[in-house]
Amino acid sequence: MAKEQFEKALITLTWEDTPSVVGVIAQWFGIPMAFFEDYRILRANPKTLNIVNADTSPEQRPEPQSIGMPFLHTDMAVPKLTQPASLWLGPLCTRNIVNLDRARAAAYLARATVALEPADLVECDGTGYVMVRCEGLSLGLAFRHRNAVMDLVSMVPKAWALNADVDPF
Amino acid sequence: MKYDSLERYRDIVDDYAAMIDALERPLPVTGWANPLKTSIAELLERFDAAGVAYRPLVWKPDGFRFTGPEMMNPGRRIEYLLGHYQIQEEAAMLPVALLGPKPGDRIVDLCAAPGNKTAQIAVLANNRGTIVANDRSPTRMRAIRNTLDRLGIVNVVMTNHDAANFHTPSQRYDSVLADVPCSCEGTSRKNGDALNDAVEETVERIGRSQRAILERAFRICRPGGRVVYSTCTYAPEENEEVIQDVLERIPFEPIWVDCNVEGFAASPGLTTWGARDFNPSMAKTIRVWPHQNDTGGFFVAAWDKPERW
Repeated sequence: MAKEQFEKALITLTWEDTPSVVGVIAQWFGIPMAFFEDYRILRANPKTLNIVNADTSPEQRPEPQSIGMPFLHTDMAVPKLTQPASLWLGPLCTRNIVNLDRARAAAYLARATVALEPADLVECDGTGYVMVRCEGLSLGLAFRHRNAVMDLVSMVPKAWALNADVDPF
Repeated sequence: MKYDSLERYRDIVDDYAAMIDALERPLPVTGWANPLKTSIAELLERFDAAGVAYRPLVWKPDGFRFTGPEMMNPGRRIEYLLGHYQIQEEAAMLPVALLGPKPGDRIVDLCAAPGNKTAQIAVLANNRGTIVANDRSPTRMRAIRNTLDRLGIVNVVMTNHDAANFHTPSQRYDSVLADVPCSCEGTSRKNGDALNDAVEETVERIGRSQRAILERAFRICRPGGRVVYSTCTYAPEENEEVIQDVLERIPFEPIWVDCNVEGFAASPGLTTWGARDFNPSMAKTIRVWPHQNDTGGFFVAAWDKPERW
């Protein structure tokens, strides 16, 4: 798609420099930058950046209400991947991954803070945002605070959370 | 009493008693694997390991039907939460199968909410090209958003516009899906209120809109592109009659596509209803009666637009 055509179509949306947005994420989670070459980042609203395939060619009319997938929440101290983006990129992550057993994974999906054990951290050497996995499935993001590194704070949004009594496995 | 409104179809259903019998049973829960996140083989392997009962769909290699307790809460499994599969009524999977999306295509779904067919299109296009999900209702667009996000779809542009007045694009679409609003009789197995005696009023009210949307679909499709029209109703007034009227208004004869799908039973569209005769090619459209495949009721028609238009 011609870049000019795409940009012309986006009356209210603006493009971001894709490498500068995804670079930190790619580095933190060990995702190859090459993966993002087929995608572009645009600002969907003051709080969120979206990601879209580079060959998309939207029309000017009707005016797009949304293009692509919500990718990054930028209205916070440290920008955070959205839940759909976390699930999308999860399988590509090679570092800062925490592995949970089923019981704690279910608690994590119910937005509970779970206690970590050293064995959970074989693929994780950082604090901050981490990718949560269970039996090879990427479940989303959690946060490890620098002063409580063995507590895993669930970042599952309320709208995506399970009730505590649900066993999804 | 409950099925009085269906009496008028008695003569066009191959087995009316079997149809009523099917309507008394709960609608099976069906779905398809999301190849953007997994494969049907991996998904079924996980189902097997978890003891989830299912059987594959005969006509759709990535489709399945739950046959055990998961039928009650198909959205509670981890694979669903992570977007590895999507729940969709089996008959409702037909329109996109006939649309045949390919990576790089520009496709518009004119009446997209709740988004299952848009998701099917986007996935079959392998997250490439431009898939426009349009719906007139802003509130129903939230459902589209949720579905696309869970499935990991990035190639969809959402618009909120009246489908009957959808703008002519600068570059016409490779294919157009007109899954129009209808009286929804065919959904009675999941929505008991779908059958009532007000069908004729509904037909009158939405008939103009259905005609306008289908005509618009032909206009915005590129020459050589494909248009699919579908409803979840049995009413010929919303199916064959709409098509006949629109084909008499557009300045070309589209190329009829045989909508029969191997492994999925269906009846041919009507070539006559009441005092009215339709184009003989209407027999290439399909009517899906609930007892034929244990689904809801459905109607699908498809055409290719001639190259010179």
